[in-house]
Amino acid sequence: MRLAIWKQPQFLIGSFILLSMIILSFMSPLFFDPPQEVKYLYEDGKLVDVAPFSPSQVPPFGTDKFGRNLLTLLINGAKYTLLIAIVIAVFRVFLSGLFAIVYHHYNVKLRPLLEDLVESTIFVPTSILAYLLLAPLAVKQAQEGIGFFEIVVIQCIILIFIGVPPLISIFSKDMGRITRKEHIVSTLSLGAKHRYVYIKHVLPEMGSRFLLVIAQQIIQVLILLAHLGVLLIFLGGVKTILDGDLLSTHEVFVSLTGEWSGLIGNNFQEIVHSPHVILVPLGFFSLTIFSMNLIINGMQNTMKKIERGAGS
Amino acid sequence: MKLLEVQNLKVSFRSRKEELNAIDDISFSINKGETVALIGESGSGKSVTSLSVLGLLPKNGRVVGGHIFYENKDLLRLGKKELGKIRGKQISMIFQDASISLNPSMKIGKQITQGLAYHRIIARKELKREALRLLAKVGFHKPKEVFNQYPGQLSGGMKQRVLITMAISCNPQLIIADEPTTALDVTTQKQILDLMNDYKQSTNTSILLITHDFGLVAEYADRVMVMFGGKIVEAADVFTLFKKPIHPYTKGLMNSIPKIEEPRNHLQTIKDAVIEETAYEGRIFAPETFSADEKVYHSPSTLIEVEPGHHVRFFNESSEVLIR
Amino acid sequence: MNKLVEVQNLSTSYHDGINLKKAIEGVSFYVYEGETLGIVGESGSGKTTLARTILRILQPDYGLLKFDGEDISKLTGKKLREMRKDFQMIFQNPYESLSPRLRVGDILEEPLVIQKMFSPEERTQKAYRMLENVGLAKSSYHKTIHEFSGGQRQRIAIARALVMNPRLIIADEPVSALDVSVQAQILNLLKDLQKEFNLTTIFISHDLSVVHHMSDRVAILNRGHLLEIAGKEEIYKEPIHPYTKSLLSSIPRNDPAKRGETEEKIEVPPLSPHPPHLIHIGNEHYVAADVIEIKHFEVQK
Repeated sequence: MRLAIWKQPQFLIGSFILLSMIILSFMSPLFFDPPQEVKYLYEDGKLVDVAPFSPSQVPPFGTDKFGRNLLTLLINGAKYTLLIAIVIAVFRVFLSGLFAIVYHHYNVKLRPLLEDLVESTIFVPTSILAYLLLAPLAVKQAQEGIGFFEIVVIQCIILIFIGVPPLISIFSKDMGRITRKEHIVSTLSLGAKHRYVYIKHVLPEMGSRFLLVIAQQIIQVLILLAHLGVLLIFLGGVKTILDGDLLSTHEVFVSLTGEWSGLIGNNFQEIVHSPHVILVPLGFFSLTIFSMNLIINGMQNTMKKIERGAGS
Repeated sequence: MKLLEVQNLKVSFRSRKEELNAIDDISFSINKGETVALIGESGSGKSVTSLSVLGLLPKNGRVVGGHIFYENKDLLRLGKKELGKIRGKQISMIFQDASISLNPSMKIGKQITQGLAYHRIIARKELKREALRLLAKVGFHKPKEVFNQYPGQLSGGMKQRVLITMAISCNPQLIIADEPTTALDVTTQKQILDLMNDYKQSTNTSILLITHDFGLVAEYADRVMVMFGGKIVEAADVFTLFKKPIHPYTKGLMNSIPKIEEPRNHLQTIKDAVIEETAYEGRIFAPETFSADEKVYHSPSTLIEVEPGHHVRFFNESSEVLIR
Repeated sequence: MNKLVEVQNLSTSYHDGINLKKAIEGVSFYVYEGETLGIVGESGSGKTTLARTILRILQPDYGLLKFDGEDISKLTGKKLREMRKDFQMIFQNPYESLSPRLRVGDILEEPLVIQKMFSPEERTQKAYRMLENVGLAKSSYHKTIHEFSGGQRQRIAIARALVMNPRLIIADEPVSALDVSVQAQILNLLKDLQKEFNLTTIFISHDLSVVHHMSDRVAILNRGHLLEIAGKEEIYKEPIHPYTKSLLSSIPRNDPAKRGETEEKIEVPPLSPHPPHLIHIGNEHYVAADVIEIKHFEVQK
């Protein structure tokens, strides 16, 4: 797998796009000035337009409603969005893997019951579940103030655990399939301990499967983040700023980290007047998901090829 | 009378890099009411032969030469429509794995009658009665019950019976049976083959039996062709072949099966047979089974009639063959 | 002679998702040290369950399972794991019974690693010797099994089963996935190794000719019940149970001249709900009692 995967063009293109986005994002402070807020556009001393500006006024992507350049914002937010999605996905898979072993190995009697529980949670849309769990946190932050780091960790933990139950069910089914294989039975009949069999045979056999699920989970998390953005839940919490003109000020929540879902959430009201403010971040989400899909396809192709090689 | 005649058939398969000859110059014929067996191990090309008769080769395979005459029509040169008329109606097929060949979500009755309906052999309202009659004929005690069941509710032997019902539903002239009983238990195997044999004898149908089992050949075939590496290496009527096999590959195959009547401590393998004998009446056997030398293996060879009706493959005298 | 394996009233069931089903019930037999017992069974006869129960991969519901005089039916944990080096299994499908991720050398040494036998160098030597024993080149050691054909893989599987010098080998349909010409080589190899390693073997197959070739005594298993067991020649020449008779008459004869010599049709009695009682009719020939009238059989010898 390790060698063959680097010959998969899909995998290579996908990872190239992703990596370059992350690297660009980290290096962006070197190239770009910090995002400026240009709210009003004057011409000959007269006010002509207010933010958001269209891509033709401020190339290449225009600005959001606070007058911030979208390109700068998106590049800047990429590292938070992608890294957080990756971290959440990795932890989801890691924890589910661990739980799956326990679940598969020990709870023989409880399993049907747990299976039903898990099945029923699968049908609750994750974004609603996540909102229900995350909303009180946002309220608490607004009222009492919680540290930035603290809130990111708590949010991540919640997002991680939301994804775990269905994965446990998937993984334990996989383990069931693998432990029924004759070469595992054969190893047990040699007198191996179960721990040996899991470490030496079951987990390595699931290795490529784990990677694949991580990739799929990254997509899931990105979609979930986009949904939450619309619902005004941002990773890292919000800061409140005043918006509006002098006569009618109102409070607006702005994402602290500048991750992409925040952009969508903040600008959702503008979707009719200046759709680009929503479409551009969505485009970036799609690009990421597209390249993740390329990676997944590449991995699946390699796995299939290896299986075919093993079968012949 | 010749029902099917295959002449110089060549089939090749395209793999990623090269074109491989799966079948190399095969000729044989099947007479009316005759059971002809193609016997060989996996990779011998026996299944490919049967698939090309029906025009069912997988996408990467194609016929590169030869003719397949069925009642004087060349099947290889027929249009799809005409071939469709012959396939299923006049030539039908029984596959090894009934669980793949049957549609799991369709009732047995429906699957049996769809062939009849497609070829419009009998009136629509007669379909069910005909299906029940056929099911009873292949040995189902309660045909009505089976008619309304799904394949998943039947055992392997029963599914194979259903396949046979489907195969005989249009009164075919020729049944191609590709390892029809390999997945079945011995007791069921005997019942299924006896059933096919009885049907054949009562209707004068021809059978092309494809198998790896010399036991089945001895019980049911009239003529036998032994295939190896895409070529026929020996062909004769069944009595001659069992009395006096000549090609070492045939001998090796026969002797590598343990026999209850003639127990021996060690089984002869094909390798043993090939090493013992290399030539017959001055001619060298082809293809040389255990030669690693590709050139030798593919040297020109011919089937030669060593006695009336008994053909054996030898290298041509002109071809340079090294003798070990 | 010493009875290496003794099975009494062994029963194992499995859960099919809805019900508990008996796979084997009330099976009793014994295997002498050094002999080969053939077990004939069609699909659904419970032969694989029987093999796995004797190897204690499955836990019997009840019954006695003696290995070399010691009851192992209730052994667990460390004691069982240590016992396992004495009995090994050869599986049906060499494409599944060997890990696709390991090198052949690792596959052969794994049993020794698990049982903590020998030093690493000795293990390597032992693996090389086993390769030689099963007729494979030494260079196979560093290859993965993708590079081997079915017959070669089965040789590797045999080497793996024998590397710990077990006393009992259970071969479950070891040649049914192979081409006939390869089958002959593997059967020859097994026979040679049986002698060389002084093995006791339980040889399980649906193929009556193969079982006849390999075994000293033969047992007939049908739908979880043992119906008849006797010496090879006796059971093939003078079968008593109608099921045995029908099995034997279904074997295709390898001679077209003998066509049509079919015996009268045999009706197989329906499966009895209870395991049959095996009675001894002499000469170590046991048969299910519900199908014979005892007076017909005089005790011979």
